[in-house]
Amino acid sequence: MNSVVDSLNLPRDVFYGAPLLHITGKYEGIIENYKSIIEYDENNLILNTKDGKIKITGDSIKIEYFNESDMKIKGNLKEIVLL
Amino acid sequence: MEYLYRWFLGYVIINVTGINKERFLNLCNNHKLNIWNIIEYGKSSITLNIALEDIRKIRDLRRKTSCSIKIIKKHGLPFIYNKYKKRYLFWGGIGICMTIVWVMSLYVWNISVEGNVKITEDRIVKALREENVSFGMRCKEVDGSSIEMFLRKRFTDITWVSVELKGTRLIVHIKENDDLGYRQEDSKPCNIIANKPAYIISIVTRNGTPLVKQGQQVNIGDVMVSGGVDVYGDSGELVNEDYVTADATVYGRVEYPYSYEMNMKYIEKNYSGRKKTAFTFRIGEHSLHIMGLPVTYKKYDIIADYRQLYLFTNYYLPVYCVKYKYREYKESEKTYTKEQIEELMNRRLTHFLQQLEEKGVQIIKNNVTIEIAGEKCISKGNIVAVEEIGKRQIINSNEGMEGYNENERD
Repeated sequence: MNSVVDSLNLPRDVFYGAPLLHITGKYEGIIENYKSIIEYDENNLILNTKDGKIKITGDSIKIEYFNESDMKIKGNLKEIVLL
Repeated sequence: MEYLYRWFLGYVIINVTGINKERFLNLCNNHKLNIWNIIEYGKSSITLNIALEDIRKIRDLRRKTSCSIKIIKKHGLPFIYNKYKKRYLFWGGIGICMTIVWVMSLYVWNISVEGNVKITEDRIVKALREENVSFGMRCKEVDGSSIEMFLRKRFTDITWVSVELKGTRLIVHIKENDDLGYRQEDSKPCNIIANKPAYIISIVTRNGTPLVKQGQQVNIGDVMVSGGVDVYGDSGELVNEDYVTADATVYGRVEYPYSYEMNMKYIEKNYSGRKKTAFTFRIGEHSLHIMGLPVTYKKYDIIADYRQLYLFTNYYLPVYCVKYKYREYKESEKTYTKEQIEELMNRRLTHFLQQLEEKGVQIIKNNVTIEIAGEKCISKGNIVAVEEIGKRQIINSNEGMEGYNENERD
């Protein structure tokens, strides 16, 4: 399955359920395809996805909007770690 | 735009405190609640905005996650509506206001004229008043075509009229003709008659039979060029009489009498420099003083500046803001000196001559004298000028023939 997807260059977020991250500089980001929020406070945001966890560290992180499919965060982003 | 939509439906800012606040967020998501703007508020507490309709479902979620929820602020139209629901007079006031505005729009509150050059707006408005088209009439009663016909008949200078009803304004568009002289009535046979008593200086006939010649004196109404033309046969006999449109240029010497009187004594206004400004409101025919009156000067000039109120360009209201300016003056009786009054009389005479010259009249002699007789100054005399004379007169079938025959028999 993996090799088929890789060799044909099919979109991985559809087939693997991998999350999509659009980050604009250090200021904002849009995250799609996540499952749930594990932890949230001003300096840390940990998200759970099908493929692992995403940890975002920064200052005064705030969530602009929050749907089942996507969310937008704003703030001074420092680290994005894919676990 | 998004904000407007949210405000319209109403939203609430709530504060969620507890260990399981993240679980709360996930649950909101699962239940598809509309939430946004999630910010950390303090230690282990966050605030979020949630739409009004979703707030009822929160009760169950709170139990599940054992968080404490507090409503911090309420925004939106539904809350405002609740607050004012019981204020019946407020809603009544809105209703009355809307009714008044609607009723006012059924009447014409402003009549304006556009495109007029020689004819003043005042004359047209006064003429319309005779036809019952005036300030305060019902919009429904405005009959555009009958107004247009009336104006065209009443003012001969107007070549084109169009009447438009915009909002509460009645706009009359006009185009005037610049004295083109003869109207083109080429198809009808006519004579050229004298329109003023004159001494003929030159006559050039292009069509028709001339009945006068150079050096002749004519009176008003005399036929100068006749439309009747004789047609002679081969043997010199009168075969037929034909009627054409007479066309000729006749120059004649005309006398214009001029006389004007002025008093030597006059009253001079010395403005003392004291001014006052007053404001009033005028609704229809009733005035309401706002400030500035009463005026204590004995003699004063009043300059009134009327401004009609309107909404959105075309919706005029019958309300005027009037600004009055009062300037006080003192009267003193003075007499003109000989030079002053002569200059005034000359100025007036020059203006009169200028007006004649603009009409194409050539001035030959100016016999006007200025005399001072006691308390008055009189200027009298004759102005001799040369100008084109002649007016077309349509031949009525029977009349024309008779007149023509008479002239011939003589």
